Amino acid sequence: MTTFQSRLLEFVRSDLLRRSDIAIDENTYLFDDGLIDSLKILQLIAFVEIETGQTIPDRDVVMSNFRTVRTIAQRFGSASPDG
Amino acid sequence: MTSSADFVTLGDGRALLRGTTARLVRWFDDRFLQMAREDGAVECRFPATIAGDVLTRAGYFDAHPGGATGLGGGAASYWLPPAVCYHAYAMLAGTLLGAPIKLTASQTCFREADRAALTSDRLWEFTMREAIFIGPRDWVSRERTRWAERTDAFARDLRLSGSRLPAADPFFAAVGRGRHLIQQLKGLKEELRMAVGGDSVAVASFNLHESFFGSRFDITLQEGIAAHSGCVAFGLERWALAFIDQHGSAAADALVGA
Repeated sequence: MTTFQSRLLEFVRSDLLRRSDIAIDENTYLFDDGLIDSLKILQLIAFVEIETGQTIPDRDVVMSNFRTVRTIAQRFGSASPDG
Repeated sequence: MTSSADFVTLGDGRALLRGTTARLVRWFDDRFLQMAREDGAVECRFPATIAGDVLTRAGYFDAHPGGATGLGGGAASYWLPPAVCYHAYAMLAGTLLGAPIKLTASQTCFREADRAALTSDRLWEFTMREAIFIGPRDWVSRERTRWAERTDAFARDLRLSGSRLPAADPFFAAVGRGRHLIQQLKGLKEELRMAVGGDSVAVASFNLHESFFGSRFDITLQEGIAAHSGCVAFGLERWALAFIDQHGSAAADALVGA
C-alpha cells in the first residue's frame, strides 16, 4: 500500500466516516448506502487535492475513479509527492 | 431559438402559446398522463403554490439558494413550485407505506434563475408532467429504468432524434456542488436531450433520490426503513418545440388533428 493510500484510508476511517459499525478497508465501496453524502464528497476531494497537490475537475469525479480508497489512490496517487 | 408565430416569448422568462403549439403541449401531456395511468399511477392535482416549510423540509433552499420564486415580500410562506414532486412527499409525510406508490401530476413550475430568459427553450415559467415512484430501493430503480426506456421508445415512434445521457442538476451553493457530484458519481440523474434550433435541450429527466426525501418526510416502508423515491419529469413546452423544430408545423398540425 502506498503512503498516499494509507493516509487516505486513515482519513476515511477516522475523519470522514467515524463509524464503528462498518469495517472499512481499501476495497470498501464508499458510495453504497449513503456512506458518503454531499458534504463528505467535498471533504474527500479537498483531502485528495491537498495531499496530491493537484486540482480535481468535477468531470473526473466519476465512479470509476472514486469507487474505493484503492481506486482513488490508483487514479490520483501517482502525482502525490510521497505516494 | 426565440419566437415563432405560435410560440411568443415575452422577454421575461414567460411565453405565450397559441394554435398548434398550444395543442401540441396538451397532446404531449395527454400522452404522458396516459402512460402513467396505464402504469397504475394515481393521478393527482396539486395546489398551484407550495408552502415554504415543505421546500425547507425538502432541503430545496440549501441546494438551490435563490432558485424558487416567493410570493409577497420578506419571508414568503408560499412559493411558486420549482418542481411537481415536492407536493407528493408532503402529501405522504409521516406515512408507513403498505405497498409502493406511483403518482402523476402536471403543473406550471417556476425557476427563478431563468426569469430573465430570452429564449423559448429556457423559461422562468413552464409546464412539467411528472411520474413519481416511492417504495423500496430496487423497485424505484427499476421503475426509473423502465420509464426511461418507454420514453426513448415514445420519442422513436415520433421520429424525434435525441439521446439519453448522465446529468446533474446545476446547483449554486457549496452544498449544492457536493450534491451535484454525488448525482454525477452515482448516476442518479439522466436526461433525454433533443435538438431544438441548433441547441441541445433536456426534454425529460429521470431521477433517483435514494432515501433523501423518504428520510426528510418520514415516509417509511414496512421494514421500518426510509422509502426511496424517484421521478420522471417531462418539460412539455420543450417537447412541442422539439417536434416543431425537427418535423415542421405541418407535421404538428397532422399530429394534433388541426
